Amino acid sequence: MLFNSIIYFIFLACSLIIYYVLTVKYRNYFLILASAFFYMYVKIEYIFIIIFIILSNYLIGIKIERAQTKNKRKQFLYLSLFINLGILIFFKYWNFLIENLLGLFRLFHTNNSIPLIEIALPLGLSYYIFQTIGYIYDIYRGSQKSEKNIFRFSLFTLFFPKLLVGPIERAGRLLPQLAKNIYFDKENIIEGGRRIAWGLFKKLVVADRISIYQTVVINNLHEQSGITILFASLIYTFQVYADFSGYTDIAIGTARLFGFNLMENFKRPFTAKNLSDFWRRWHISLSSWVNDYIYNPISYTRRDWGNWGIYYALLISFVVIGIWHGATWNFVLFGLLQALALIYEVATRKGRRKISKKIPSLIYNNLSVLLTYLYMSFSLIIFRTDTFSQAFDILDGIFSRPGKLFFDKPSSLLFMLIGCGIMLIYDIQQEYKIFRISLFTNKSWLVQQLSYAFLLIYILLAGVFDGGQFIYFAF
Amino acid sequence: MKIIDRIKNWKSLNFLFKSLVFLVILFLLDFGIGNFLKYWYFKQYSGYLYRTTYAIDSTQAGIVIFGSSTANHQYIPDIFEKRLHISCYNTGRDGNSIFFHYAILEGILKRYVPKIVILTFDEEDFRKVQQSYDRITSLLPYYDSHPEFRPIIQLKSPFEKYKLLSKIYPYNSLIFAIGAGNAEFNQHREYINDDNGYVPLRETWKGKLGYDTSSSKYELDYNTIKYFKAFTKACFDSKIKLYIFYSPKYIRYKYEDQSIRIAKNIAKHNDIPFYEFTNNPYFLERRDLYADPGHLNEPGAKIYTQMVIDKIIQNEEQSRPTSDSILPLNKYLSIRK
Amino acid sequence: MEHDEIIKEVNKIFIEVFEDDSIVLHDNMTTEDIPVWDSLNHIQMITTVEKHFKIRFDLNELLNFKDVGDLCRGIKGKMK
Repeated sequence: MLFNSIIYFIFLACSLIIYYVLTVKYRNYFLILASAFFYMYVKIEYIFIIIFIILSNYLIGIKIERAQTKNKRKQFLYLSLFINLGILIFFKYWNFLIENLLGLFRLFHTNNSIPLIEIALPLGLSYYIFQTIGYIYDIYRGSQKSEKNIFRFSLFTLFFPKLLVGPIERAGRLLPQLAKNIYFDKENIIEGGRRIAWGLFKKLVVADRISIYQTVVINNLHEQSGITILFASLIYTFQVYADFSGYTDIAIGTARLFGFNLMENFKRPFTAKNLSDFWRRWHISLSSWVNDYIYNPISYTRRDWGNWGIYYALLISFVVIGIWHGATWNFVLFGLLQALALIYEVATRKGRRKISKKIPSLIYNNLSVLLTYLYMSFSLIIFRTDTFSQAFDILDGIFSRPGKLFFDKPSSLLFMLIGCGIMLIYDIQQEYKIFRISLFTNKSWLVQQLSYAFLLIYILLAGVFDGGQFIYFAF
Repeated sequence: MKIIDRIKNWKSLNFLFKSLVFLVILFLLDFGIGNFLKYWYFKQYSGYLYRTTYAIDSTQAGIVIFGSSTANHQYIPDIFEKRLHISCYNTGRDGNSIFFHYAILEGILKRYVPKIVILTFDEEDFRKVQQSYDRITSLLPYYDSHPEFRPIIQLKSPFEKYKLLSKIYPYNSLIFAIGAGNAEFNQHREYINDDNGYVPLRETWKGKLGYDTSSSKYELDYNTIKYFKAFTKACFDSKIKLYIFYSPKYIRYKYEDQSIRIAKNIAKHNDIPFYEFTNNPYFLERRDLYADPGHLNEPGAKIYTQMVIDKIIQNEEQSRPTSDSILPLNKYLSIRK
Repeated sequence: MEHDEIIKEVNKIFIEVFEDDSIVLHDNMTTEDIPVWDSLNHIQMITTVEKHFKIRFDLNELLNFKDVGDLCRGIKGKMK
């Protein structure tokens, strides 16, 4: 069930009505059923994997908490990691590992055959496995109590708004909300609905429109001019942002309709002045997860190495972020590129600060924003391709082929630019509040309503309604 | 307690009232803008949307050409008219499938019966792809005025009826195209002739000759086969002479494509001439006649159209003894060199 | 050392490490409240604190610090 499909909205409307008609104490049970249905709608078999993950981690969580010795706790932690990472590796990284191992064997002229498996990745696996690992690790280090109520724990993992593409929630944020009684509140309906409207705008008007252009350019890469490929690469960054943050908006909006607050996943990443800033604004639920469970432990234990400890921790963290997206060397390289930029930023922090004082801040800040955006767009060329040679083809195309900018009709270009423009102005307004008058948060409720009505009308006018999957789905 | 209850009630009433206001605003905007777009859409006098409307509602041509881009950019009505002395219109529209072609034919047959119909057919035309259904969108503006399109529009999705409750929806993504279709400058583009539907391609292909050695099996879409058959039957029932053409490609095919095989079989069973120009030695050597591997450019289309007419004339001559020809034979025989 | 004294000392370290004279610490301040304080220079601050008070935290303590108050209580606990 895609978030931008009609089926989803029918499902959403029905479950919302049933949810609020039921008496308070049955509401969460109903959400478990609805979420299981939502997950099984795509493929029934995968529900067994998620049930297994829920049951095993539920038990391990309690065991860790009750374990008397540090050693026992560690054993249970390892057991949980073995189960969670084992499942993730089996479904997501098996073929990648085997292919590379075989390649290594071939170097030493030994012949081995380990079977590859043809199996589809269960949807959302990377998201809920990471969430579960976070939960277990929090209990292990004593900052979180284990959840004794099996239903509550099931809903923590299954809750459908965040099941397929996050945000990757934290136990400390979501579990307490699940323990509360939720009553109908019109604020939740209004805010949730507005969030979903913005999500649909980003997804249908911006991301899917750009995606049509991208497909044409990438499928005919060798016939496209350098300026076309450059343009496509530059707007790809907006596409990924609109796609993923639009999807997240729908997730957060949906959760809000049911009375839950999910964590924010994006904070105007295009206003970031450097890469470290960018990663605090981009896919926050993943980057903060990696920060808390990988970067911090490593950098703390290696703190005697001085800056080298930080570099080491950054490298590992970003390789994990890279490979989390999928099992290719391109994702690894993508992660390495991010780590390199961050290492550079740590090493030159003081120097850059001195320089910034000599240049007018308006120029310095805007240049920094531009540079960050360009570096990210460059990294995404590696991110979007499967092999190094494909990435090289794109780069080579940008620099070697003269010619005009390709567009089939002027209207496609106009639709893309207007969509991006509205999205960026909205973000910039949220970040800097440059306009005194705000349409969507105006004091008059009528102006607010008119603004949202026009937003929906524009989606009807300029949205792309057919085809198109979310780019982040395969992760 | 009672006071609190009252406040609660007042608050929820207020919420209901505001929600209602929002829905009314939304409905009025959709209704107003949607109806304006409808008026504007049918007021166009040039452009590809105008040409589709013209094909459905106005053309009286004796020869009508149906198909996707391979029809639209490769069959030049002027040449048909000159050589055969019958008026001709090209209804081809990029990226559309047999569902669209069939709908246009239905629309035309409600008004009059053309003498000759040409349908272009390409490899993988029976392949199951979502695009065939997504492109049915082209027919949405005619949902109200052409009930005969409705079963086809329903193929797109079971929700189409409900989506059409929105008056803007049929004109989604079209606002700029409609604007251009109403604009003065659009009428004066010299290379597109809105009166006969043909749109020339002006590029020249620079790439290498493609080789297709895949005999790839793909999932067939039985809906497309059904509508292909319906298309041939509609022509047969109205006594229209139907020709099917598989046009030149700058690709050498090693194996015959599944869809082509099926379409040829259907044609054979129904005595419909099916002409293949793929793997035609002449066109495989003339890269200069292509705009891209799948489409001829304008000079290519000129040569190809002549060949198509040759085939039609040949066929008419052969079938003359047994049936009354539909072409004014004396006239065209004198024109032939 | 009392809690207030510790926080004063830590404040000096913050000003030195983050190169910002305007920092005035309170118990419930987090990285959110001091823009230049992030996970990249956090560890520099920690090592400076450790050197200054001649203590050494273990990993779990470091991971569980949520705000300035936690840090100062941690320092106090270590110095006993």
